[in-house]
Amino acid sequence: MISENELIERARCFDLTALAEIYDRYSPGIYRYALHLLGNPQQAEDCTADTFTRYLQAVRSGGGPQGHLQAYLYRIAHNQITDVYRRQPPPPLPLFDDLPCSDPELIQTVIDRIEKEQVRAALVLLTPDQRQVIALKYLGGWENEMVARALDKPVGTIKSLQHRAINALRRMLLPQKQEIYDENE
Amino acid sequence: MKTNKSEDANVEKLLGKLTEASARDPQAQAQGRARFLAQAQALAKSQPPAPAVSQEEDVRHTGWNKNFFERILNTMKLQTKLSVFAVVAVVVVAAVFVVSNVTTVSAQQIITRASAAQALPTQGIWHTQIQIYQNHAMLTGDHPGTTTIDDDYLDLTTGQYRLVMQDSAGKLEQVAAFDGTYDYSGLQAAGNDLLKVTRVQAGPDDGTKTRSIDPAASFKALFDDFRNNPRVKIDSQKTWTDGTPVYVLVDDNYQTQKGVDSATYTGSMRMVFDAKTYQLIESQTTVRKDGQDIVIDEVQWLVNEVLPMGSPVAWDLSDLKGVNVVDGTQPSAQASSTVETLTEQELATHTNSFYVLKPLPAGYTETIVAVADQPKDRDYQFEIDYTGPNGETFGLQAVGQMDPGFVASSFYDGSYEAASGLVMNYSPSHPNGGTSAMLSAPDGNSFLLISSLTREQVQNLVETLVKGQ
Repeated sequence: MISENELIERARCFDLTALAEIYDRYSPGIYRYALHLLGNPQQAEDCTADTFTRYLQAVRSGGGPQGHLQAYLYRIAHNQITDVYRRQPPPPLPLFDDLPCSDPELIQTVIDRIEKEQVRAALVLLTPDQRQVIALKYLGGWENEMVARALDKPVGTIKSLQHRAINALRRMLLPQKQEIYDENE
Repeated sequence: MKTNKSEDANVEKLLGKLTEASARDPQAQAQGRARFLAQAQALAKSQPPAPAVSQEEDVRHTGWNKNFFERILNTMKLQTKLSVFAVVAVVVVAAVFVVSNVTTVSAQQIITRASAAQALPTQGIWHTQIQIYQNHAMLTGDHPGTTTIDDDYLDLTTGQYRLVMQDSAGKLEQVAAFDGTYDYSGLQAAGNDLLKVTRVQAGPDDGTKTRSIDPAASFKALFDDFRNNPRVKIDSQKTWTDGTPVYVLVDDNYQTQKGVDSATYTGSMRMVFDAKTYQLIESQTTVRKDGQDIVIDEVQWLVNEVLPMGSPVAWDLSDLKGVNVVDGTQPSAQASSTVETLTEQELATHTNSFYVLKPLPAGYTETIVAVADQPKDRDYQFEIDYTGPNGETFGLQAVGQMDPGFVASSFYDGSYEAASGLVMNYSPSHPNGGTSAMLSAPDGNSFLLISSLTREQVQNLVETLVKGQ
């Protein structure tokens, strides 16, 4: 397997084989990351495409990462996602209405979907730094050290951001959650 | 506020629900990949400066020269060039000794002397001035290609560097520097008289990075290839134009390849180095076409010296005329360029090679976007997107002249030729619909076509594409 540093160097020469390897290696993760945060496959594809286009533009202008390509790409993707969030007004946290259906499987599907929308809506209301930490840790499955490297912040700061973000999410999500469970029990 | 670990676990559980995403549409993934590689191909092709006259052919040159001069020198960051130049000198000189049985000095003697000549001291300021001529389109005439001159300094102790590239008329094309406190970088934009140089606070280890460059490791493969090349021969000692005794190293069977699967040209590659100092003086590559020897690459080392420590060098580029230094922030992952929306008429002022739907289908909207401030000597890059009344999409992205090999390998799933002469080569499609294709125009330019429509619907639209004006 070609090392990331070698891929970076070869990509600087616009080596198509290396660029294809970069796309194959990282685009699935970037797509999943975008999909988790945006919830829309088309928007996630657009975000993935924009991320790699911007990477090419950076390489062409002599920039781009010296190392940690994966972290670099996730930063670009996250900036794209933040832009999407900025363009959209802060969404209201969706509330449950009465579910006119008695099929438990269908009800669970609807509940799952609404829960996801609630979580995404809550993520929008976090600060960008908090959101990125939460997204990389819980949606990307990254360790604190990797998140710290991607955000160029100390690990302690990452932990602090995570703590504040979880607190904020708890305040936004759990009161409703409790009501939801009460209503459906 | 009292925190509750079970509540935190509930929050984490809710976050985990977002990861239960559905699988990615393989067609969308394939389209994304094709689009990315087409963009890369287009950018790679627009990287070298265009020749003064129109290009006749697209030529790829194989062998070490291609690997080095075409692919590395043209695209690499300036600050890494210095290290590469050192490698070239080492490579060239070392290659001599492998095939040195025709020289009057022993291989061992030459190796010893060359090693000493190429080894850089650990102190002082390394100064190189290199003139690079390129004529990759194999144009005939009196120097029809482009010439640039790189004037570079590197402080071997502190890591400070200064790299300046000019065209043959002395106009600044690109600069980069590190003065110990700030990083400087600037790339000439088309139509600007002043070169905008951005100054940003340097990172804490910038100097260390420069000092720790290990060119030999990066280019070991290149070295090995050249060392093992049995075709390389050495001419007997000759005298250079300035009277300097030189050795000339020649590969008379050097081959270049046009495209991926087309004609192969044979030429020669020649390197000249000082017979006393073993410094590389010049390398030149020629090809024979239509009975004529045409120079496609020529690199001349005008200066290669190590100045004493503390020699005065304007690391902050303050001695350069025609630059405008502005303070910036550390480069980030944010986009470095802005995108503008154009009308068809505005697009026509940048390029005469674009196609639009005429008449515009009922309910469709047209959007033309392009990166602002593009260099005028390169293919203009833009995208024309259509959206139908039901959200259907039809987009064309200009990608310039495509390597036929790339099209053949990535867009191989059938083709369609419109009455206008536009040809679509399809990439593999997904049964659920959607189309991606490379659309080739009669003038040789290509457009990456991506649509949510079926092939048949796309074909109907392509039949209504007319050349914009």
